Amino acid sequence: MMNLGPFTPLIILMLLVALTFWVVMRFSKWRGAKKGFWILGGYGVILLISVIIYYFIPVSAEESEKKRIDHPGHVEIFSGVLSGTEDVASIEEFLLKEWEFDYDEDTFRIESRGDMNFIRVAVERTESDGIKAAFYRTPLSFNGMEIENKSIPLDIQLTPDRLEIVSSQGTEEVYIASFSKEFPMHQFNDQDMEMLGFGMEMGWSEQLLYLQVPEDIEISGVSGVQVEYID
Amino acid sequence: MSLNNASLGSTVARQFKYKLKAYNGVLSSLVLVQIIAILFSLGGNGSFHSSGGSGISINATLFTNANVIIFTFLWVIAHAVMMTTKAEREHGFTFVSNHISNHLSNALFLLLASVIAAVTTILAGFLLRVLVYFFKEPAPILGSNVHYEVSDIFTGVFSMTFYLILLASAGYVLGTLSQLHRTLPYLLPVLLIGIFIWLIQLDHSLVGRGVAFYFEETNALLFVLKVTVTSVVCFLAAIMLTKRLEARQ
Repeated sequence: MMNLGPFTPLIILMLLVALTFWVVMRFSKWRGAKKGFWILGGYGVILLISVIIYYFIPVSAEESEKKRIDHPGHVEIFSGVLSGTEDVASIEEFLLKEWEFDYDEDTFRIESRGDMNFIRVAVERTESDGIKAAFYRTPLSFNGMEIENKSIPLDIQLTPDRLEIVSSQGTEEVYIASFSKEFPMHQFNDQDMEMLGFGMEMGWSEQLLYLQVPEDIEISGVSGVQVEYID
Repeated sequence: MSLNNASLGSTVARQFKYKLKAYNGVLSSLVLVQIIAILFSLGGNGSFHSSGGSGISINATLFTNANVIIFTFLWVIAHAVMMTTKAEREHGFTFVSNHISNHLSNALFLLLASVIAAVTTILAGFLLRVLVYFFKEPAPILGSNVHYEVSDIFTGVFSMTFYLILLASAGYVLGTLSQLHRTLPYLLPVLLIGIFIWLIQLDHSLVGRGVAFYFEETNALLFVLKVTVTSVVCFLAAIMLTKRLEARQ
């Protein structure tokens, strides 16, 4: 069978041209009929109503005021803490959840259940009594716009000899409708012309699980996750 | 003002009024063409799916008004070509006129049609956003470029009008050219596609540079000048071709 793949755009274009010419020729027979004006007028009214409704859509007014996120760059936000040059309090704004456990044993293992490759795990040895865990995440962005994400992809469970990082079940589906402005709107703006196109840029979050473990508790082993120790 | 000029002006005005009534069906075809384009646009012009392990899966759909723009471009070309057919030329001579007044009234009508089409095309962007917001299932979060500035609307209507004038004049001269011989309406599109393919083979960037001549012109005055000069040249060519056509008949 003949492969029409390379000709598909041309075939579609020719079909569109044929359809448009057919519509124009068909309607040109309405010579002098007033219904032509009524149809155009009715369409004009629908368009004007849509303009009015558009201004009541909450996002239409808010978008221009919203701060855009320059992504990526969040890796550097955590790097200061991971290298020990900055205190964990400096990333407080990205804190999503905390856990605190009392632990009486001398040793424990860190293990994971489920895929944890997308989360960095850091351990800081402290002089405090219990084990503390905190989950940090930088914002998720789509085309520079922040997407609210409250889901916590993990849970921490402490057993007598193990600290388990458990992957949460289920994924939240988010549907985004993104738009592209009509190219004639960018005609007289140099910078805008460069921004034309239908690109969709996803800025994924950086995620950090920060564990604070008392100095007198030994970590006997780690499996399923890669742990970075804070000096 | 000479008597000839005055009579040409009044003839053009009379013919223009006549064409406003005669071609109102064409204006309603614009409505149908744009509604079809909006329906196509509701499916989206691109999609993106990704799951980055943050407990969230992103399904993004890009909506653009590009379909409406393309269909409107095709509409104005089709309409300009249709105005040059023998039947339409004869309709234009139902009262005292000459071919120059006929061309001028056609140009005026195409100018008006371009303005109307430009306004409806840009406003169709609002309709698309409203339809997506209220009727798209599952209900999406509205992403980037939802917001229109007032300046966007005016710039959009202004430059869209000139693009439509440019294409209308190109369609008009091609339509007139196709009337020179009864085989040309069939041969000309094939010839044009052939020339297009040949130009691409000759130099890949040639067509792109030709489009960029108008599309990448960011100086408003130069843009208007480029489009106006091209359109005037096209209409003058159409007038000269009609003279040739009449001489042959």
